[in-house]
Amino acid sequence: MTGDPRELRTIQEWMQAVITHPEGVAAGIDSAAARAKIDVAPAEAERVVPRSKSLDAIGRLEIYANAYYARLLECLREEFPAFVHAVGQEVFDGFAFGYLQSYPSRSYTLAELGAHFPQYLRETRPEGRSDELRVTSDGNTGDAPDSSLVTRHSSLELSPAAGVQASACPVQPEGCTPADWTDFLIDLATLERTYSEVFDGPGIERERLLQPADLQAVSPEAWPRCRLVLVECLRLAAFRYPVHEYATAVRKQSNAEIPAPSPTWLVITRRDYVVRRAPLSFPQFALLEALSEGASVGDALERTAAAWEGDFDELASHVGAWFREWAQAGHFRRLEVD
Amino acid sequence: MIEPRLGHPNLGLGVGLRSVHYAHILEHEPAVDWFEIISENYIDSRGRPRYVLEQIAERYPIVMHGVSLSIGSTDPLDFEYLTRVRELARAVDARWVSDHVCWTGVASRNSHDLLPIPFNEATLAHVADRVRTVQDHFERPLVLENPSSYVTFAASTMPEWEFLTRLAEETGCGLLLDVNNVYVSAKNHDFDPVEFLENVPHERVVQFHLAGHTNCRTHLIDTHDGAVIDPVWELYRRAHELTGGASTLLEWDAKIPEFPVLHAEVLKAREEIAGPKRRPGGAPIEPRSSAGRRTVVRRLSGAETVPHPAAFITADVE
Repeated sequence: MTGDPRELRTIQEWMQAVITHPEGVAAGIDSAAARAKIDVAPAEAERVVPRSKSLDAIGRLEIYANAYYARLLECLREEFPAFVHAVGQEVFDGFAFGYLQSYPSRSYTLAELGAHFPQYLRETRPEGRSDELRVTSDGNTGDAPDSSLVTRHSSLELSPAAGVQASACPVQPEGCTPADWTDFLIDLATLERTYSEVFDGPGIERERLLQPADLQAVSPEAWPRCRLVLVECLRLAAFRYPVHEYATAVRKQSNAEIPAPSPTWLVITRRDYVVRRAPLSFPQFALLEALSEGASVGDALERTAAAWEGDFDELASHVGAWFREWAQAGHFRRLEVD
Repeated sequence: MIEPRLGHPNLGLGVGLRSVHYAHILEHEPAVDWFEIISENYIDSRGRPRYVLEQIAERYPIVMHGVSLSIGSTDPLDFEYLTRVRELARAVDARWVSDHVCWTGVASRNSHDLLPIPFNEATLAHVADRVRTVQDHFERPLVLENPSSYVTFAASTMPEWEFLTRLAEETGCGLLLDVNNVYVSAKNHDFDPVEFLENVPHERVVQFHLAGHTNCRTHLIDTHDGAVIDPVWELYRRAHELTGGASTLLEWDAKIPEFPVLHAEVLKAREEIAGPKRRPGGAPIEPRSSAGRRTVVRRLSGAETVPHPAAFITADVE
């Protein structure tokens, strides 16, 4: 044996390598990581873990190995219910299984388990595609469709031998290119993770927020120099698909169909401890985004004008109503005047 | 002379607070003696879980029960985590703070499982040292639970009850005696559960846990997904006799029933203390799955029995 099997650190490093190995306990015992700690073959595992009357060492260790993935996959399924609905549980489990290899939990809380899942999907999408899928002002995603791509995401199949292998996509909707399908799934995962973060993150329930009347008290001359500070729980999101409608349909257990691509801008926040989301037009999104970055109202309006297809006066006529609506919805923490 | 329960009161019969029951508890204010929370679900919460907890803490005694202390790990203690636990304990006036005699991961990883340790002198010294550090940080005795386990180690040189006894005596910590875990581990490791109960230091037992488990023929799994079976009630009755009684809590973490069902289950403890009862619903749970090697496909199938803990709170979305 390499390490001393009586030494606690050695046992823990060995056991962790064994029960988290993606190909199971026997492969885990035989892995380089485990054998570097305690150099026993699977048939010799009882030198570390004695058999019981009913189970040998491998059978006993498999209880922990099975539980490790089962527990964490169960939590991820609960966090991403619409994603599970879109691809089916078996395919989702394939995604999640791969995710746990890349991003094993390093937090004391399961609330952080899914934190990197959208990032993992972006990182593992086929090469040659941008990780950053920004929606531009003309509504295009900026991604050239690439029907030759059979994404790893949409083509996972579970195998006892190899764990996860590529095969024909079992879930990709008819008429949807693999690239489109991947975009949809990344958007959906991003939305569901945002819901989790907003739900249990900082909120506004116990704070006094800016009211529509507070805005009316500002003189027209002072407006351009004002800064509207957005509440901490507010998130702005740009998607290529109306994934919020799909996610809501899944949560309400109504008929959820994969939507057609449609540039989508959302404001996601929390009120009365419940996550709320509302669609925005692109100019509205651009205005709130500028304000969220600390721009004054005047500067934010100039940036918004670039996204506005009509004349500036027409935009100005809408903005007052937008600000009142957003103040009513609790989007503004306070107003600062330079 | 050590006071019974380390001087803690017997809070009576409580249940684990789970998010599916928030609305029922706030609306109906059920006559539960106390609630136990999973610490990790609340220490970072700035949303509804924390808001609900604050309301419940105004009406009921709260005990904090952690699953990530990892007192048996050889990784350094996480003082940021300990500080958050301490802050929440103060905020909700937690009667005591408990966790498990286990490790959850090494090399900065967290398996989110309660992994067993070898019971020997070196481990005892290591764990005792960490318990003392945690108690200094918390400024109160820690209460530690015997977890269910599925492996033993060739490196062990003493029974679990001796390890717990010496740990408690050396550090002054309390014990959370999980009677179901004693039963599960006894079956899995072929030891006598009554011998375990008779040998732990009874005056240090601050709390009992009760739960259901799953019989997989070759082993039992601590699934917390059903009623308490009669043999566990028998052990509970014996434990009550030996200790003079302690706060008793029912855990139910999967296939969670409506709150009244959960509450009724823990109230059976009163009957058990009064005398043994045999109930039609108290028969051992039938085997649901066979043992043996599982393929990756089986592991990912969703049909696997998942041992406690699997505590996760999902978002409420409009």
